[in-house]
Amino acid sequence: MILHTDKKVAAMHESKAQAGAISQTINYGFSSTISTFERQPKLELATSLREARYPYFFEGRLEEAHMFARCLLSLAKVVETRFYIPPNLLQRLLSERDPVITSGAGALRFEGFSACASAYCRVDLLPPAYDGEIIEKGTTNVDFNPQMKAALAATLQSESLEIGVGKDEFVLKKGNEKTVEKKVKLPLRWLKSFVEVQAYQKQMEKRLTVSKVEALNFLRNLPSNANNQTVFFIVPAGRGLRLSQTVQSRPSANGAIATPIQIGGLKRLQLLKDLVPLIKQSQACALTVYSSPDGLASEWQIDMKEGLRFSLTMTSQPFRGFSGEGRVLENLTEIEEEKLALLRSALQWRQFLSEESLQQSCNMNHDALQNALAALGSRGLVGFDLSSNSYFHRELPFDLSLVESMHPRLKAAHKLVATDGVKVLPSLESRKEIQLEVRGSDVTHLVTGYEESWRCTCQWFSKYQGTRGLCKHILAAKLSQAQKESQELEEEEVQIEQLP
Amino acid sequence: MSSYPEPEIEQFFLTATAAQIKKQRLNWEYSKSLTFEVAKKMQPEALQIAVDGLSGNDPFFVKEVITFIDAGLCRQPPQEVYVQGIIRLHQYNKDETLTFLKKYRFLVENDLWLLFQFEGGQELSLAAYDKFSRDGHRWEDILDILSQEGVMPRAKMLKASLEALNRGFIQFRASWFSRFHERLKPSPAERIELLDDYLSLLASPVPPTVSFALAALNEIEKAKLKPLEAERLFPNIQPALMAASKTTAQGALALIEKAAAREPQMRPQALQIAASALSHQNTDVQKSLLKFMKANQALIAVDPALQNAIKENLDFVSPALQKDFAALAGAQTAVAKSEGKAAASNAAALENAAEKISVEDISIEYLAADSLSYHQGEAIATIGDAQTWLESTLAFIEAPFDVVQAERIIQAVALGRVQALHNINGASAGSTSEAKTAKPLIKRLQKLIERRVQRYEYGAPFWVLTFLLHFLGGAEIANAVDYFNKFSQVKIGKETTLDGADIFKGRLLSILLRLTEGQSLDPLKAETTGGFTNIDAIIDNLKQLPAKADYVCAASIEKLQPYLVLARLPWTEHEKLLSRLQIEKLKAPLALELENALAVMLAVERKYQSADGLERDMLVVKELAQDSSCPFAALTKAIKQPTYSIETLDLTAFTMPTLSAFFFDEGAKECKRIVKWSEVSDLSKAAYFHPLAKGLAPYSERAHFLLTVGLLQSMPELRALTCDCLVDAIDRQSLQTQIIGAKLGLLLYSDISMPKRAATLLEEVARTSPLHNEAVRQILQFSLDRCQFEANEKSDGDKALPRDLAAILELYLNCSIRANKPVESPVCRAFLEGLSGTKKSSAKSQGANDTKSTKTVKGGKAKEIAKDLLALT
Repeated sequence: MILHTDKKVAAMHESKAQAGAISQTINYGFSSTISTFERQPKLELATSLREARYPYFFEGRLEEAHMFARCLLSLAKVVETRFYIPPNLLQRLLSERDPVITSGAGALRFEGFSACASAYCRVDLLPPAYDGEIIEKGTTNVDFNPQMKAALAATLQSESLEIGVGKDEFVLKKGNEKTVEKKVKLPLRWLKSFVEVQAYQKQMEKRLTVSKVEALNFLRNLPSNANNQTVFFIVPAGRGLRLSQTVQSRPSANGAIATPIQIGGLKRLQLLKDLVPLIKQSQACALTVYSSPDGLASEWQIDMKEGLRFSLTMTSQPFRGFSGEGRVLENLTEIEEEKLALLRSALQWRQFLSEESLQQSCNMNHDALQNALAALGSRGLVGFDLSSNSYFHRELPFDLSLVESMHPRLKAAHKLVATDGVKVLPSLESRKEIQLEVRGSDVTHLVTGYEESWRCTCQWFSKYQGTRGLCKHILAAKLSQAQKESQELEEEEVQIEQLP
Repeated sequence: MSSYPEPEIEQFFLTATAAQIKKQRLNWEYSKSLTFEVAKKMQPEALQIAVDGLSGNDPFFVKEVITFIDAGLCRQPPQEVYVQGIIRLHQYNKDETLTFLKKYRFLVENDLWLLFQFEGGQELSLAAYDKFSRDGHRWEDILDILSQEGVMPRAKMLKASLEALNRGFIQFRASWFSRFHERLKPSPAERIELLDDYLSLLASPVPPTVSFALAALNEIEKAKLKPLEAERLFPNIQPALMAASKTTAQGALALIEKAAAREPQMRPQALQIAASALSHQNTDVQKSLLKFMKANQALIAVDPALQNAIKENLDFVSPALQKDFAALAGAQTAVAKSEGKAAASNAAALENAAEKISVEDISIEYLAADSLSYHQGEAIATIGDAQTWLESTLAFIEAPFDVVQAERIIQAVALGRVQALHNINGASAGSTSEAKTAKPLIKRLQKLIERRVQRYEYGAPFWVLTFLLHFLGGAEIANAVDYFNKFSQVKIGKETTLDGADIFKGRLLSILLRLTEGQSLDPLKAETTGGFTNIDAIIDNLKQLPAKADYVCAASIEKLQPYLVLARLPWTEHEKLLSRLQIEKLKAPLALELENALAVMLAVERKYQSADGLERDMLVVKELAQDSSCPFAALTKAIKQPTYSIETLDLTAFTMPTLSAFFFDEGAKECKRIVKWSEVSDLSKAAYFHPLAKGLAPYSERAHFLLTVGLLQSMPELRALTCDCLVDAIDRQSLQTQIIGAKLGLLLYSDISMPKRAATLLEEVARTSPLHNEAVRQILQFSLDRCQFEANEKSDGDKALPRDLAAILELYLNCSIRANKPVESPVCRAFLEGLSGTKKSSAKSQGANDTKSTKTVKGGKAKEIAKDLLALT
């Protein structure tokens, strides 16, 4: 098993956090390629693993490789695309990044983000889809180069494909091959997105299911000239889907009114257009759409065939990267390291971590587990699989402990608390809410908390009303409250100790 | 001014170690000083570092680098940088570049081939460079000459250009290589040598590359030197069949057919591969496939796998072809099933069928409801307490402009519900939570106003911000009129015509003025989310006014006030309001003005009493608008006022909901202009559809006109809104298919004819449900009725038939098949007969007009579909 400590990971990648980006050197044993092996095409995926005990991370064989190849190509397209270019970014276009692969407990998951972090893509390869064995457990980068992508594109429908994910054996075969070294600047937003996306996925629920024909009809009719800024609503139309500009909150199956799914930047959805015609699995439920209750993020899942799934998770607008959402920030204010360690030890590279089993094994209640999982998610240790509604264990090959300390809002909140920027106001007896004054950039903000609901007078909160996580003022207020409570607890303990 | 080479820099290069050079920021000044003489004297390691660094920073340094490499002083710099340098090496004149390249053997033998390996980037690539080079002096010219002269082997160049296409470059950059390959004019024999490369390109994710490869294969086929073997073709051809381009897919199908004809034993495989074209979106491709399959019917009959493949994909096939494909696969379509049921004479079978009959089997009829009325929306709840108002306002100013929320916030101020917050900025009670919340709000308002002033955005949202700031006491000028005037004066020009935002501004200013006078009322208040008011509310408001006292109002809207009140009251209520006013005998000046305004309006209304309800409204508005002395004309001018502000248009519709017919008429004109002149798409036009999309305005004749123009739009936002309105109107049975159909027929023959766009959108509507399908079928039938009329009226030879009319006909055919209905209208039938040419003889007897319509017979596809339509029973 590959379990990297944070120190090891940091040393391995010579990560250095800079303003907005982490410079990272990734060493691949060779270039990923499709070669011919015993008259069969063989996909050799290079990884940046160094500590693997076995020559291959995974070795197996896929029937109908065409579908898998197209899925990987779509994934590659996502990670190399920037769906939104901020006006001030002129020349600083970022290098392509390679996706990461996670293996363990029979599943192989390839995942990656678009450069703008507004789209997250994952290809899940589960046992029925392949014939082979996952030898090593772990998470690592995989080399996606243009030559390999071109070869993937040429994979034929009738072909089967041998897959090898690993390093050493190929190097042995081609002893004089040069190691491939890629230097990439990983933007912090990309890394933070790994943290946020699982928080979003956890909240999502199944909203729509359509057949292959209807899915294709919908995707083919997507306008190519849609303005990136315009948000469309996805609404059912007969047995299919259509775009709408009218908010029509319709009752769902259980009678509850569901906010329609919102999507801007339709180019992201068009990625699915090439995959839908290839679907083999269940013609009637070819495309499943999940969304968060507020409709602001959605996941579009295609079951290509049994055991091969393609998922595209998107924010409502391409300029809203997952990184900036901050839904996990609230949980990060309440981390208990002991519980984290306990939970981490229970992960065991399992690909389906159900909440119930974790609650039992770690002896935690729902809230504590949620906080702990969010904290683990923020360190890249868990992802979420919507189709099985469970977390899965992965350890991202980046030093994500840096990321946690670089959340601008959380960082600013800590600073506010440290510099006495939070002042608790005397609460009125008639009101059960607590009020705090928190220093803003040019005005003092009023933060009001009542039970679990918090409000602030700042621009961020006014604009998003909590849908993009808490503002720095509320976070500071919560941190300050937590500090106060722990101080009071300590004082109580001291008093108890002093009792005769 | 410094001269180059600079001695100091030369000295640096001669003395510095490799590590020191690495640390130095090497800019273009350094590249000028690193001459051949200096390079010769440098340590090889240090020179290499300098060359690598300078090549990255100065792309024009490549010429020196080449001389160094030639002399064996250094190696190539990192490849991507070097290749970019080579591209830039050619500047204006191909002869100069050719002379330079030929001077260095290693360049033409090795390094120039790197051009075929690197894609380049956004700034620099072969495609981008050649795009801005002059004719005859592009890189493609240079490489072509080198190949013609035999300096660079032609065969290798042909191969390299194909390999480049297989490297996953983006479309723009890949296209350079396909263009270059064709420029070299490969002979059939050379193409045969490259067959495998062409075949592998069929799977390219770049559509033009697939078309290019297919064209090359066709060239091989045409040359007949060596036939394309099915064994090599079939495993590779499938991606081309799925290409979005109809020509590519049909080309691929043709290649399969030819190969299968040459090698009959491969026909089963050919059919299996060709079956994937069943899901092709273009009906013509499906038709070609059907033809191929019909020719091999016998093979399909004995191949269950193929039959299954057809059955599985039947839903993809156009309804017009489903029956034929189903027959091939031995399956029954939904349509065939219902036909079968109808034909069954056996009583038991009929009983059984009746039991199993599904909703889709019932023949759906669409009938529009007769009565059309305004739906006024929900009642607007005014905000009651200060803290809620503050929090709502904080959120409102950050969100896009919502007229209803704006109304709630304004009403709370106007009616004195948040009087405690008036001038709170200057108040001493700064310790209350309201004051603490108001402070950030005031700060934010100031910032937003400043930003809008900088951007020159003086629309409706701006006036709300200034109103709020002034109310809270955060404005620098205490007098509201002066404060508002400060911004009004900087508006471009001094138009005397008010627009929706100006009327809104007048209302806001009036509220502020009234607050200072202690008048907590607003006669222009909207009672519902549709912007409507009612008689009781008007009377209550008037009762609150002091008798015979003047109510405070901004000068800009003083005369308009009674008409603005009436613009919120449905036309049918005018008589009632007048009699109520006469009964109540109110003394307020506004009451008297209202009575006068009603008298003027009712006089015109009575004139058009016999006209249809909503049509009458339009006629009344048009007549009143012509009297420039009547303040009402200012309202119609406000609707006509051109604007690019979606908020202003939304507000105009909200302020004058009963003038919606006039508003839609204006909207249709604006939208027509976008289609006709291909103007830059303007999102504000979406606001014309909003009252319909929200279900607030009735589907009057003018609303139908707006929706018909909406069908022809290309802007996705407008198309989605049009679709929303149509789907919803059909659901509520408020859509008059005859009106929209006639207007569509008219527009198809106009200068904004866009049959394809209309067909695509109507198809989306038709897919919603059988009821929607039937409504769309009716629309199309009525549109073809109108086409018959237009063809007779406007025919001027071959130009008479609208281009792409086949798209409308095809959709009509599909809807008719789904609804299981023939062409019902005799006029439509006559038009189709004219199109299909079946009515030529009878046309002559009907006179000159009909003869004209027969002249319009043009376009094979339309003719074919017309025949299919006429054959429906």
